[in-house]
Amino acid sequence: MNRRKILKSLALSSALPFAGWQSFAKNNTLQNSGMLNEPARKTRVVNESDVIVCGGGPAGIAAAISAARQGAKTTLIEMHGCLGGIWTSGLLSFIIDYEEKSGIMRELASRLEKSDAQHSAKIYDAELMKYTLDQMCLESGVEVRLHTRITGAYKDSKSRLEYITTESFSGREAWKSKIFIDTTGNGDLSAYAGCNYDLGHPVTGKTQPMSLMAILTGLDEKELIDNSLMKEKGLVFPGSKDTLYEEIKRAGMDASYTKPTLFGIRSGLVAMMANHQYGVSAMDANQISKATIEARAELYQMVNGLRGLGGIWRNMRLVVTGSQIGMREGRRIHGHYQLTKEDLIEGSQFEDAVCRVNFPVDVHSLEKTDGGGYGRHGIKSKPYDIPLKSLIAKDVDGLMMAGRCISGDFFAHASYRVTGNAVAMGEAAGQVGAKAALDNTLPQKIKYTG
Amino acid sequence: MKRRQILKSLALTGVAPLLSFKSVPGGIGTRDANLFNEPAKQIVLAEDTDVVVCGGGPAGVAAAIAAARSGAKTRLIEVHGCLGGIWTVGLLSNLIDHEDKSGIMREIVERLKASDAQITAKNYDSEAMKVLLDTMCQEAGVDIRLHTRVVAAFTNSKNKLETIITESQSGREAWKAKTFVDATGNGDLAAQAGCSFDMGHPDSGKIQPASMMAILTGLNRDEIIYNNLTRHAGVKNSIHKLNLKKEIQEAGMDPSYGLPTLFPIRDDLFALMANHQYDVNSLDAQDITNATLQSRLEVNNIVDGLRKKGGIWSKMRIVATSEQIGLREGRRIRGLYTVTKEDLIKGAKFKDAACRVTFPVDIHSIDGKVSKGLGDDGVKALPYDIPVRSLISKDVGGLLMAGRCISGDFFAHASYRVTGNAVAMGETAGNIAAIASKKGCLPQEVKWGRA
Repeated sequence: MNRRKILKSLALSSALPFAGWQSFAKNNTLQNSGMLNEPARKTRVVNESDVIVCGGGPAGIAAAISAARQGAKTTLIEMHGCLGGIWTSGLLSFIIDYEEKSGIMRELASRLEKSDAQHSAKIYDAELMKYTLDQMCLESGVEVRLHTRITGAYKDSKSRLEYITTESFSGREAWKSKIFIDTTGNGDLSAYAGCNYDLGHPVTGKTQPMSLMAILTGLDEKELIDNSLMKEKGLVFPGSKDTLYEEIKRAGMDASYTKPTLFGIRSGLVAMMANHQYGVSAMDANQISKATIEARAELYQMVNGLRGLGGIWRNMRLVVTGSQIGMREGRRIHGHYQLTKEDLIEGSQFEDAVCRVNFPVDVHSLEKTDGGGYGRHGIKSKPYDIPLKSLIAKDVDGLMMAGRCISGDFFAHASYRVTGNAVAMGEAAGQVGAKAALDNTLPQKIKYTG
Repeated sequence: MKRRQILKSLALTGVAPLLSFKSVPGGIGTRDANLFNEPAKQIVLAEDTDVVVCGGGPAGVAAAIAAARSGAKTRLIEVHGCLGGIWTVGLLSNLIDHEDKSGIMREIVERLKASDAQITAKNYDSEAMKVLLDTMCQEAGVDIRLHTRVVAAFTNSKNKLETIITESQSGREAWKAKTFVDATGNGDLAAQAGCSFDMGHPDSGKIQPASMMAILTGLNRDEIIYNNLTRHAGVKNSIHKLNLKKEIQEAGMDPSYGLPTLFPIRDDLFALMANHQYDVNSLDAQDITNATLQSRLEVNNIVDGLRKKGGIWSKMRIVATSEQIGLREGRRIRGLYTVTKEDLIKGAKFKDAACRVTFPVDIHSIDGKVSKGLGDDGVKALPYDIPVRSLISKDVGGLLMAGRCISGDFFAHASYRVTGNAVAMGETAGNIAAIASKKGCLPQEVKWGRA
C-alpha cells in the first residue's frame, strides 16, 4: 500500500528521470451508518527521541529547551509556522505572572530586554519573540518541526505511550519516544493517548471565551496617555479599559469584551484585546472557524469605527491579527494530583513544587450576560504551588503535561493558565522528562524537589 | 473504537455529570522495521456536499465563490486560520497578472480599491484582504472550514474521487462531494487521490526557492521614493532593487535574493521580499521548517542591519513575518492537457480557455551558487491561454485543479503560477465543478468555452 510514500516511477518518465512521479492511493472504503472505514496502514517512523514535546507554545518551548539542556535527544513539534503559541501565533503581546519566575522565563525576559523593540519584556514585540525562541531552541539543540499536527497516539501493552502520528507537508509520519510532554494547550496528545480529563465549569460545563488579538499602528503614545487609555511604558490600568470601552461605544459598537485593552509595545505600536467569542469549543474546528471569522470582522469594524472618530484615532490601522484565535480553556488532563480552588484559598505549598503562582482566579465571562469582562467568582487566592504530580498523567505512562492542560479544577485553571506559569511548568516537565528518559524510568519515579 | 469520539463518563463524576470525559484511545500499533502499523479506524462523515475545494488561497477562494454562486453547496477547507493563502498567510502584498482579468479577480481589486487601507490594490493590505475574502465567501454562501488539513483521499471502484479525510481540532473527519477542486498549491489532494505528477526542472529536478515576506513599519514613503528604493515612475527596470541590495550590502549582508524588493502598501507600511531559500523540498516538512528558521533569522538580520545604518532606516521595524514561508513550486498534477513552453512561445489560444496569461516566464534561481536573481531561461512568452483541460485530472475522476498545481511543464508553470492567474483558473474550475455536480457528470463532460 504505502499510500503516502511517493515512488519515482521510471516507467512513466522515459526522458525525464526526475520529473515523473506516481502517487499511490487506494480506495476500498465502506459506508457504515455515517462512518467511514479507513483501512489499516503503514506509516514511516521518522524519528526516535528521548523526549518529544507536542506544542511549541510557552510551555512547550520551555520543556524542549530544558530537556535538551539535560542532554536528552529532544524533538519539539509545532502546528503553526513559528514557535511561541499564544505569544506569537496568538499575538498576546503581554506576559502575566512572570516577574518572580527564575530559570528559562527569566532568561527569556532578559534576552528580550536587550532589544529596544519594546518598552519591557512584559509587553513584548511578537516578532522579536519568534526570533528569540527560534534561537534559544537551536542553541539548546532542540530539533524543531513546524507546520505539523499531532493526529494519533499509541501505547504499548503496559499502557505506556510509545508512538505518535502526525500530519504535515511530509504526509503522515510516526514518531517514537521514551517520554512525551503534552503542551498542546488543549491536551490533544493526552486525549489521543486515552487519558481522562475534565472540561469547563463544574455546573454548566461552559468554558472561557476566545479572543483574537490585533496589532495596531498609527497611535501616538503620548496622546493615549493624555486620554487615559494607557500609562507610561504602554502599561494598562483599570480605568484605561473603561475609557476604551466608552470610545468604542462612541464609534457605534458594543465590544463583545467589555474590558477592551490597549497594550503599548513601543512608540507607534500597540496590541489590542477587544473581543470575546462566547461558547466556543476548543475541540470543534467548525466553531473555531466561525469564531475566527466573526472576531476578525468585529476587530476590523472596531478599528475602522474608531478611526472614523478622528482625533487620537485618526491614523489608527490594523496591521496584523493573530494567525490563531486565542483559546483560554480546553481539556484539563487527569494527573496524579488535581489542583483545586481549596489549594488556592489555602495557598498550598508542595515539596515537589514546580512553580509558585501569584496570579488570581481570572475567569473571563462565560457568556456576554455575565458582564462580558472577567472576575474571580468569589475566590480569594493566596500564592500557591503547582506540584509536579499535577504534571504527570494518571491514566497513561511516560506522559507529562505542561501549560493549561495540566490537572486542576475549573477555578485553579483560571489562575495558573497564564503564560508565566506555563513556562515554569514546561521547564520542570522538561527536566523531569529528560531524567526519566535517560534513566529509563517513569517521571513519577524521579525524585524532584524543585 | 471511535477513537475521537468523546464519551461522557458518568461513573467518573459524582456531583458534576457534565465535566468529566473519557477518551477512547486508538489501540495498540505494531511495527515492522521502519514502518509503524496503524490499525484500521472508523471516521465520522462530517459532510456530504456538492463541491469541496481544498486550499483557501487565491485559486481556492475563487473556486469556492464561483461554485457557490452557481448554486452548488460548497465547502472550502483551509489549513491556516484565514483565507488568502500566499496573499495573507504568506503576506505576499503584491498582485501579479491581475490587471486584464475580469470576473472575481476584478471584483476583488474593485473592493480593495474602495478601502483606503492601501495605495493601490496591486500592493494590497493583507488584513483588508483577509476580511474581504471572508466577506465574499460568506456572501456567496460558501461553508468555510479553517485550521483543517487534507490528509487522505479515497476513490470509488470507477476511480472517481469520492471521500477525503481531514485532521483538525475536531480530529479526523471524512467529507464526501460530487466534485473536488485541488487548490492546495502543492497538489496534495491530487497526490493523495493517486494522480501522477511532475515536479521540478526537467534536467535537475530542482524547484524554485522559497521566500519569507516581512511587513515593515517606520519607513517614510517619500524618503524611500526619493532614494529610488521602491518602484515608481522615475526608476527603470530593477534599479530600485539593486539600490536596496546595495544598502543591505553596506549593512554587511549579502541577501540570499539578489533582487530584494520593497512594496509600498501605504505611506508608513511596506512589504519586503529579500530572501531565497534554495533547494527546499515543498513536500518535506523538515526542509520547510529549516528554511523557515533560516529565513526568519536572515530577514531579522537584514532589518536590524539596515536600522543600524540610521538615516531613512533608523525607525524601521518588522511588524509581521509570514506564518507560512512562500512556496513557489510543488507538484504539477497531470491533466487532460499539459501546458508547455511551446504554448508560451507561440502564444497558444484554446477554445476552452480558462484564462489568458500575460506574465512572462519568471524562474527564481533554482541554484543559489549560479544566481540569486531570476530569469526566463531563454523562453520568450507571448500572451497565451490556459485550457480547461489542464485543470482536469487525467488519472482520477471528479477532480479539478486550480492554481500552481495544474498540468504544465516547468517553464509554463514559472509563468502561470502567479496569483492573478490562480484566481481566474479557480473561478473557471469552480464554475465547472458546480455544473458537473448538478448534472451528475464528470468535469470533462461539461461543455465549456467559445463555440
